[in-house]
Amino acid sequence: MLPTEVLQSRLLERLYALDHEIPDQSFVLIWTYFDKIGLGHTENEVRRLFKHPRNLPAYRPTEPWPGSHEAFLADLAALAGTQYDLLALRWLITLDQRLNGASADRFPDLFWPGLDDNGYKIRKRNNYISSYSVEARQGHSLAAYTPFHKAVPVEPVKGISIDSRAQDNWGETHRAQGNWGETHLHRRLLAERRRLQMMLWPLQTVLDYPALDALRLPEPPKCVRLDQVRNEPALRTEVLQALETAAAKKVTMLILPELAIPSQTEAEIRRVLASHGKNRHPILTLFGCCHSPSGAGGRDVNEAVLLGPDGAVLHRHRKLTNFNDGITVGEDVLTGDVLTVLESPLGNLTPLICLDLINSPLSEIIRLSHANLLAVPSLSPETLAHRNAAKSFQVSNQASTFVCNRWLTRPGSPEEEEKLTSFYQLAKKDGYRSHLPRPKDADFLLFSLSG
Amino acid sequence: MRLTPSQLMHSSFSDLDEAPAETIALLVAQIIYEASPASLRTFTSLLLDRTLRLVRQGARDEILDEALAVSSGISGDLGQALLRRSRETFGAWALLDQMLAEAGRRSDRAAVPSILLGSRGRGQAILEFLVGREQPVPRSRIREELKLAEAQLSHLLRDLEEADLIVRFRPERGGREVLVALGPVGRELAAKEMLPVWIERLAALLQRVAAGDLPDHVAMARELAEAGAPSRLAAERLATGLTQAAAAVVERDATGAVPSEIPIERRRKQIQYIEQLEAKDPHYEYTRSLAQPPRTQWAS
Repeated sequence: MLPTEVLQSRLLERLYALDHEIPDQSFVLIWTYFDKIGLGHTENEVRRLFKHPRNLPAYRPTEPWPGSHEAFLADLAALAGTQYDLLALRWLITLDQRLNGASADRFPDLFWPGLDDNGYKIRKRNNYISSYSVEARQGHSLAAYTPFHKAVPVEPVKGISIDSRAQDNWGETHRAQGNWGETHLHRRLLAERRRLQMMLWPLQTVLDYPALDALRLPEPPKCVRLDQVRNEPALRTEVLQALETAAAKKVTMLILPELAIPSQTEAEIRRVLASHGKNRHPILTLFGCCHSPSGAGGRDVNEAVLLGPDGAVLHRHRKLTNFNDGITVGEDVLTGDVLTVLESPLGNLTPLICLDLINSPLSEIIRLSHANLLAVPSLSPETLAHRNAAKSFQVSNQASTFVCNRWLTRPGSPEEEEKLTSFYQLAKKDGYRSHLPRPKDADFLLFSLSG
Repeated sequence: MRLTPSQLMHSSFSDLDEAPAETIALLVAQIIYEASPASLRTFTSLLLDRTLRLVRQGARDEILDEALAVSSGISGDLGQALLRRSRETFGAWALLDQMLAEAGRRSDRAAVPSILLGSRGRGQAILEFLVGREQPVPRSRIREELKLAEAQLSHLLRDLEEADLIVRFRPERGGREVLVALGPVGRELAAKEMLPVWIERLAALLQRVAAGDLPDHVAMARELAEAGAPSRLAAERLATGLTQAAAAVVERDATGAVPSEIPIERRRKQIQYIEQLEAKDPHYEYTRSLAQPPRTQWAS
């Protein structure tokens, strides 16, 4: 990496060359500068002078915009080292606020060059849960300083591209491919700010996969195909009970675990939701489908499906990582190459599946994205790694994570129960709550924003 | 709730002026499928008046409920039906929906009102004192101006700071006096106290459109862009929505009110005229086949 002094002079040079009336370019340049050098000493200085990142004031030269940009550059040119970084950080806060005020809607296909010459688009964080929380503005990441916007790479990172699906953009039908959901759905999600509730239902029914019979053979297979469930009627009964409870409690989003829903039960869920119409709850339903053929090369896919209030498929997330640790039984699936961020009035919703959350190259891509509402159906013998990942995204993205987890068998001992917890980790200091799959425990874990 | 064929025919929606948004939501589908073109325009005028009132004076819950009602008419099958029936009406409703959603989005945080209203509204008083001041204010000045006891001020400032409504700090170049300024949430909230300039400007333009005075399209787009509309494209779309709204509402009477009833004879003539048009041109915009053909009901 280039020395900080070189990067500082390069940043200054690039800032001088800009059209000052457009704050977007400056935002991207300064963002990528800090992304490269890290906050390190700058944050130490913030703590020394202001005690807490939230106290760091925006930099406001007396000249009105855009003259203030030139005043800032003159001041920046006179500084070096940590003082330079501190002023740049304060200007980044100013730009974040200015972007929020002057230009609220940024279209997904506009991007600007960063200091590394790669393209970056500016996306709104829409982080309603984080903004609600009074403890959210912790440091150690730029998220603490720029609560409204984030610069997101346009080009794929390590083979995975970040796809931003915007809310309705002023009825732009010709850009429909960049949007998700209908206008009415987004208005419903906006209205849910009054009573946001997320329900995690890990399913008490022990699923009897025929494929697991092969594990009793003298030479068990390393990978299994979990495409069917013998006790599907029992499963269906519980899933319908989950839907009914979610409707009665007016739940915003219902999350079921990974690899839990065979195709017939999926059709049943869609039928029940279709009978609800567009005005009932749950507004969103996310579940992991059983393995199903992809149609490409005969390999299976592991997908999570997001349904709207009327059962319409809003998004299919294809698992980005293959689970095969050589210890427990694995899967052999065709993985996806897109991390989709569904921007909504409640937060930037990103469905993931189990290992997607804790896989280390992918963690870096999630960190670079503007995802901050992570909904994760999971099938895992323990969720400690999931919780550690959730804590890390809590800092880097001020993300709230909802993991609905179960395992192939019902736990036999309290220690095993502890490992199997479904949980949510909010973008606040004490925002952790877990759910143990004990028969005596409730069938679900419910998060309610209004307490 | 359903409207009678007579109500749909005579365009008398005056009793819905103050109706809850739920009532409007129940009527939207029926209006789209069954109302006569003139009734559709009257209903759009009603929505326009309600939107202007709510955006300027409504509570957040009322605004969000109205946005839900209007958005249901421009989404999915209903939206397609409305678009087929009247592109202008669709454009007008989409404009009203955007306006309501933008006003609703400026919702406060659930925790903040209780902090502001606590201690007999003194939190609110501190925030108002800080709004509009470019420079941080010394803590002692707040105490003097608002005549607060030291212990009470400490308590209030702590609560406000925990909610990021204010920040407290000492000057960078030394000094013992603690300074107080608006925090990130406080700044946001202060901005929300008033609607953004472009929404105010949009409301004023909409008011002119309702009164039958349609400004030039390009001028409207420029005015909205200069007032800080989200983007140039958004300003362009808002201007298009206003132009469509002008064609989608009824003419007002001399007092500016929506005529409560169109004479029956005039209505019959209108129906006859539309039937003639349809006979000549099967693709005539207002008479393309809809899920429930409205004409049979107008004639009843």
